[in-house]
Amino acid sequence: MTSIFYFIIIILIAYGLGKLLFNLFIRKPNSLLEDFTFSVGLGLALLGYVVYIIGSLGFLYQKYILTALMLCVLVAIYPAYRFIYGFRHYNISKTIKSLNIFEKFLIGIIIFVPVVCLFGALAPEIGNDTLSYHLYHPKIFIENHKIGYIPFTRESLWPYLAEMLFTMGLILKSVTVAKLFHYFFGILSAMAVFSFTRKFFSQKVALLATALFLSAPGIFMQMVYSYIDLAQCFYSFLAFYVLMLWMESKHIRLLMLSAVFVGLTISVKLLGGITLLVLCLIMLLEFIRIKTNYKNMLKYFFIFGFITFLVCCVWYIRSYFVLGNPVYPFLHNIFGTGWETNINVDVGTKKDFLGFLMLPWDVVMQLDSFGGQQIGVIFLAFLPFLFFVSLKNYPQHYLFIFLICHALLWFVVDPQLRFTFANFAVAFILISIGFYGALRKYNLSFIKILLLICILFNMVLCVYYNIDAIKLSFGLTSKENYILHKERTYPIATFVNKNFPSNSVVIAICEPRGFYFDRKIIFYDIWENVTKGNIYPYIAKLKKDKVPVYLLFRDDGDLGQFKTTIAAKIPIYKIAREVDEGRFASYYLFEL
Amino acid sequence: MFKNNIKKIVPFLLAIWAIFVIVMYTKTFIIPRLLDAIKK
Repeated sequence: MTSIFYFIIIILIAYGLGKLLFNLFIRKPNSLLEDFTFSVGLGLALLGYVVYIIGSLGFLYQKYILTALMLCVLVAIYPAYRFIYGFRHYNISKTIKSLNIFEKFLIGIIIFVPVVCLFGALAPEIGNDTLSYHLYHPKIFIENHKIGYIPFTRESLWPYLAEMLFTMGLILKSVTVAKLFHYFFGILSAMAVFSFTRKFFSQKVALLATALFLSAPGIFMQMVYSYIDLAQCFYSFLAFYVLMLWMESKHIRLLMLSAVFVGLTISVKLLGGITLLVLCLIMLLEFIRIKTNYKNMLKYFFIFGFITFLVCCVWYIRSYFVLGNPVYPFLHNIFGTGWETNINVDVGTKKDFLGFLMLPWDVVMQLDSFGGQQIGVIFLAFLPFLFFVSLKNYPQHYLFIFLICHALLWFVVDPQLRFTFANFAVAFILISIGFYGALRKYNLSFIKILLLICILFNMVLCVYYNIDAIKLSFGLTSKENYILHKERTYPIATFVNKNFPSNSVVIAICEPRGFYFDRKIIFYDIWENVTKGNIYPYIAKLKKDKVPVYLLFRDDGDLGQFKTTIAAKIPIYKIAREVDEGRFASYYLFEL
Repeated sequence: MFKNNIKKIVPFLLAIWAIFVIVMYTKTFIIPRLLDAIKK
């Protein structure tokens, strides 16, 4: 509970800070929700950059982060107070009473998903990428009291805006606070979807779109891990949202705010670049529609590009200066450092026109081909409602353009479903518009029942995926049991932490998860790619410095240079763990 | 007459498609996982 309390305080600070920034761009927001969503989005980013600056200077201590937060409180307290005070005039029960049964049901879903996912968010972390770097690297930053390059890693100089928030959560309190950030990005995304749809369409369409978005299994499954995809989805969608507001008023400040959000998207993940390209295309189409002259067009594009660059450049410039490659380890042919990374080899279907046309079917029916996440059956079953979307106004046109262009680029670059969450939002908004468009013309009672059944099925899935976390919250199982059952490296890490000297180094083969280890871990696969050399001189140097060296080997990996060394050794620890659904592997620990 | 027919056919086609997708989803996603769970 204290974690939730800490988190609420941070969000209020973020709101207060963000509100001051937000006022620079928009004086009068369309609604309280829009004000909150935009301000918190800006405030969280600002807090992330504060942590980054403190960490880069080597002052990553709890006392400095707390001092910075206290200073932020001074600035944020008045806007935050005004926001809370503003709620006094808002009569939520009156709004709910005016809704029909179907809309009340949707409200129930919108409340139910975050409540169930909160149990998952409060449970110990078990996500793969999280334990490999999203939380593992912040843990190392805190140990080193500095944010920067971690030797023999692939990701430590990637754009880490969301990870800065995780770092703040870890340093202030616990893993739970860090996890709550990503959970909250899911809620913020839903708020943004609701606010956008209500602004441009209607409240009932907004309720349906938000309920469909939150009930997509990919969304509620991600909310319980400290991944970064919901942060990317949130900023990406906000960038589109503000661009639509700009089209209404053509006020340059709105274009600038949209550029800020694009910059933040790219500060969260490199693939945010897809949003930049799509929004540039939308801008271009709008300029052509309103017959803007070339000079003005260039001016707007320059402003947009410059602000985007300004917001996100710090991550890429530091990577360039430290490793000689702004997108390390990708594009190694151009920059000379890095290595061949076939990120999209195992994901997606055939990358041709037919493959793209079949995408809606494939993303639902071939789960494993798109990284294992799900968009859910509702998307495909109710996709024909897109034909009922009226194309009278510009938001619908641009929603369609965003949907198709974003999907196309994502499909070509790296079609893991979680990388396109912003498109989930757009797709569900369009389906909701189409649904109510069709409802005006036809009797769709049976379809409505089918929709309710599908949503309820997704709710069952939501509970099913969080059932162990719910049990944990109600004390039906212990935290130890929960992690032991859910996290494959936990018993090995416990053994290592208990038995190995504190200065020891563990070389891990075929196991990227290092979060639960309190000893220095070197991931052999990455080491090999980074150095392209012989590891034995490195081990000899460590031993010469009286550093004990161990080898952690998972038997579904390749021993590489250790083949002959290990053949004659007896493991000091051995355990079999489930590494994938139904697939087991044995782990061995050797002393080198 | 034609308009009336359309009013009946469109919801029918939408329902058929939705049911078809739900059945296929059940076949490819739900049943294999249920069988796995039962086996365990």
